[in-house]
Amino acid sequence: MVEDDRKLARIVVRMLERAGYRCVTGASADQALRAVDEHHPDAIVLDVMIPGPTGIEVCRHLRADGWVGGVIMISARSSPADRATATAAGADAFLGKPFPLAQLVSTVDNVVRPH
Amino acid sequence: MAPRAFSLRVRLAALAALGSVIVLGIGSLLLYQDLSHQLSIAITNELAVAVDDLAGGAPPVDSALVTAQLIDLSGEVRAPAGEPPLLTAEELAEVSRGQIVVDRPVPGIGKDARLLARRLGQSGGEQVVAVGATSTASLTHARGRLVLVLALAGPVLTVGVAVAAWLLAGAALRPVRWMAGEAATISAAQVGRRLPQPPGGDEVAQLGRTLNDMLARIERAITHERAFIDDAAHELRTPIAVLRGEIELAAHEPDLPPPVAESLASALEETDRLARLTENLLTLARADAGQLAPGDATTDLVAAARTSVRRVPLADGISIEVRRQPGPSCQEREPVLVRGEQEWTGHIVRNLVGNAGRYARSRILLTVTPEGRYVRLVVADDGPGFPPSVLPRAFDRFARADDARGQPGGAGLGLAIVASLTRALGGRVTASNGAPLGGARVEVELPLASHPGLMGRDAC
Repeated sequence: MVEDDRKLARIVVRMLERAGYRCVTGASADQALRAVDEHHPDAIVLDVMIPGPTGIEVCRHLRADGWVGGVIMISARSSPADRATATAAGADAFLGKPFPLAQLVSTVDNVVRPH
Repeated sequence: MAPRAFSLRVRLAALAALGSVIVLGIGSLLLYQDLSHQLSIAITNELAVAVDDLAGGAPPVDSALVTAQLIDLSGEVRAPAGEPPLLTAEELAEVSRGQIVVDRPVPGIGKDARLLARRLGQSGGEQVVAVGATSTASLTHARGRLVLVLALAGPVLTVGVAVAAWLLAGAALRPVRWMAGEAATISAAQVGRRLPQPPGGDEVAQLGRTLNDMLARIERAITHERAFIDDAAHELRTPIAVLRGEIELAAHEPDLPPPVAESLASALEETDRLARLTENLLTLARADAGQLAPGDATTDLVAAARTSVRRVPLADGISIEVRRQPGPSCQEREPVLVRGEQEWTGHIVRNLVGNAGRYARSRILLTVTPEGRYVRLVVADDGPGFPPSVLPRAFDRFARADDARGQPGGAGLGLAIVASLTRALGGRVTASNGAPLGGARVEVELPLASHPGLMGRDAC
């Protein structure tokens, strides 16, 4: 879970852990890339507006490196153009804030276990 | 300031024509007077020469031009003897005091004639008067010709000046019209565009620079406003997301006392309401800032309407029907393409259906009808309709009809957003009561997008 708002990160992690997922958190692009290298997650929940390179750039970088895990982008900016940019960067799903936590969990479920 | 009835070009041509009329009128008057004066002096001088000749002792002439006589003060013609005198008794009396010049008909010369008489010295111990007479028909004729020429040439010259002024004004204003046309195509979605700068340093080039400076200032203001809205969206949505998440987490705790569970459910509802209000205000702000310009995207209004209708929760017992009416040149199954993102057209449909669902008794009818260059989207219900006092301000922000319509509603932004989005997409919206279901009826007209597959025909 990569999100610079610590409260939101904590809430999302608690909800995902309740759903049975094991989570690690990061608050920046560097921490996100390091966590992917170290933990090889099934999916990454990635905020677009994070310090340093944006979540979009992180996603683009991961896909360029051949990473095939799921990417769920979350953002407070959720115009059609923002969604299209995320999809073009390789995101599997996009959720605009504020979103129901249940919707996030089901989105992660769909990305990690599509069937 | 009231708009002027005529264009600047027409007014300049009319002003030039008026100026030419005044100049030509004054010039013609001066020319007429001067020419008349000069010709009159020439005739008088001719008579004076004849009279001088008589005074010098020459015999009286009786040429085709001048008739001359010597008359004594009793009125008898001394030379040429036996002819009737050219002067009347009164004129003889007057000439005895000096020289007279008289224009009057003279028998044998005509009705246009001039007499010049001068008293001479003694002639055989008796005072005599030398008188010459000549026709002034040539003067009259010349004056008539001059009037004719001026009367014919004046209007021709005036029209010529007006046409020349029209052409010159057109040539001078062409760059201005061109810049106005270019400026009219710059929408809020293209705030970075500038007018092509006319070369040189004349007034038109100065106007171009001034307009481009103004566009730059507008771009800065709009960019600032858009950045503010984006920042506001981010700063508002994130704490709402945290608040919602905290409530959701708490609500998922096991074994909550019922009052706490109820409070958390209520808090979650209010948080969602706060989130909707925030989204609605942000949408309005974006529409006001020109961020919702349609661009190149097109949307099938029928598909958008069917999808959006399914996303609107309606109370039990209320049914909704979506009808696609065939247009004059459109088949019923063809898509109805309008400009803009599906998100915006869907937002319009959701707000209209949501508003109708709040007041309908049992039915909502949504019709999509292509008509010419526009498509008409009508959402009608069988509820009590808009109160007459609300109709004129149905699309105002925070305008609510709840008191009159008996049910609690939203914040009063739904129809205001419909109006803003419709305007942003180049359309218009009206509200009324009556047919087809007897309740409220909101009609949205949106411009059809051009359809590449229809070879220039309006898209259906």
